[in-house]
Amino acid sequence: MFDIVIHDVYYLSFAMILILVLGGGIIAVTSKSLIYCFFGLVGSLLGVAGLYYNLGSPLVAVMQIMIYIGAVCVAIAFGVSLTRKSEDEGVNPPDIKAAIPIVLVTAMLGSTLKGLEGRHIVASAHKIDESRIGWMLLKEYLLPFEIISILLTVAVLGAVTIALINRRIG
Amino acid sequence: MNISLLSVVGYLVGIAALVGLNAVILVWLERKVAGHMQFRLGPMEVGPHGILQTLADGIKLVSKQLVIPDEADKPLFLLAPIVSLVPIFAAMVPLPFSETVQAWELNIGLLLIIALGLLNTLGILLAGWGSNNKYALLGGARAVAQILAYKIPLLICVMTIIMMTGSYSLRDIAIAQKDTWNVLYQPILFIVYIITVTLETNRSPFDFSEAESELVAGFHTEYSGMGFSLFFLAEYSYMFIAAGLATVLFLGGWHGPWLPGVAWTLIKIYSIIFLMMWFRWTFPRVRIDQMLSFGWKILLPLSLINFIITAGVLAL
Repeated sequence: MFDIVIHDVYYLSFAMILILVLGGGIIAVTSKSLIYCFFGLVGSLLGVAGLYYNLGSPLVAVMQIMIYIGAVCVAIAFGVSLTRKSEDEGVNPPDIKAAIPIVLVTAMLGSTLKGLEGRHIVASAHKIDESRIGWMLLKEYLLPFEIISILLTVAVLGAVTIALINRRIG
Repeated sequence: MNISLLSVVGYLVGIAALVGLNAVILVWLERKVAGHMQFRLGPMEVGPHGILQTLADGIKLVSKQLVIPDEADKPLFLLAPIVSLVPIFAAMVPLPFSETVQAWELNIGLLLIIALGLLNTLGILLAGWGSNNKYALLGGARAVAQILAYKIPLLICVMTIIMMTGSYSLRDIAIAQKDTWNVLYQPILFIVYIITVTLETNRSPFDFSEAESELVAGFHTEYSGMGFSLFFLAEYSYMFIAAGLATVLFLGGWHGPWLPGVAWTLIKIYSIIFLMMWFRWTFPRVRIDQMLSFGWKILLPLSLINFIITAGVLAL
């Protein structure tokens, strides 16, 4: 009776994660209240972490939570709590322009799936050691890694500069 | 992956029992410690030395009505305590109590606990926003503001220990301290860790998002009955997890003479929790701007310098 293994639960968890990702995404895009958008985004990103875990990479899943929810979403929450826009004004409702990326993404995904149709895909699931990822980031991919950090530094400096200019004018 | 559903259910029941029992003990201990620090006795009526007081309070809270304010954002208001509590069940999984007593050995256990600890702040923000109360909102906003100031020193602390051990697994970190505890190598880091963890668990003198003398009760001003109790369950469980991490990272985990491993782990965990309670009744609450500048200007450079020195010593 108790010989149900995790493997059977896998599909159930996958369905729940899908609901979280898609539901969160829909709330994030369509909701009028800024805070609902924010929590929709959090739900969606959490779901993506679950997807990574389901794909057999717990390290990436944990990193997804840490970076996207711990850093990005907290920064957004910080921004939201500093905005003066009251809830009654709301966010602009999505107009016809919002349909363009939806159509484009759907077309892209559809054509990809069409191209893959009939081909036999073998998932190569050889596990990569976490320490190897670390070595690769610090040896072979050191330059791109550092360039990304320069990009972030430039973004932070830009934000500080903009804030300072606004403060002087105000 | 051939873990049976039965063992998963077993873990969940075990962790739920631990969360509940821990909260019962800690609420009682908190009141007793507070009492004795102020030359009072604390709860004495229910059971010997009032040990059953928390159970009586728990029954009272369960039987109370959950009042939802008319103007509150109902879904967010109801979701907040759940968001606060649920990550604990996952965060307790990789915590080792002895060489063999551990729900699940994960090679990234440390990262998992820290990542899930972040979700508590989201729960507080949800509560603050959902209550539609200015004190609650201020409490939620403060929780988000302070997360940036303490999380980075905390992560650098943890990174230093990871660097010394070469593993993310809490079990490996504890095993590596068989002879010498990390606190002897890294006393400054231990102090930084305790301060950041006091911040993370919203304990006085850093309980800005509650701050009863400034914000009524902060983010949980509007919560009653079970909503309130879930927040408290979450807070005491986060204290347990934080103290458990301190035990494994700095105090050698289950290592100790004579007593079995689990006993040592629990003694160390509750000693650190006692230390945090001691803080509460010793230090007055600092102002939030003082704490933010303390976090950015003292804790962060201190932990970074310590990190660099450790890296240098390890490279030699």
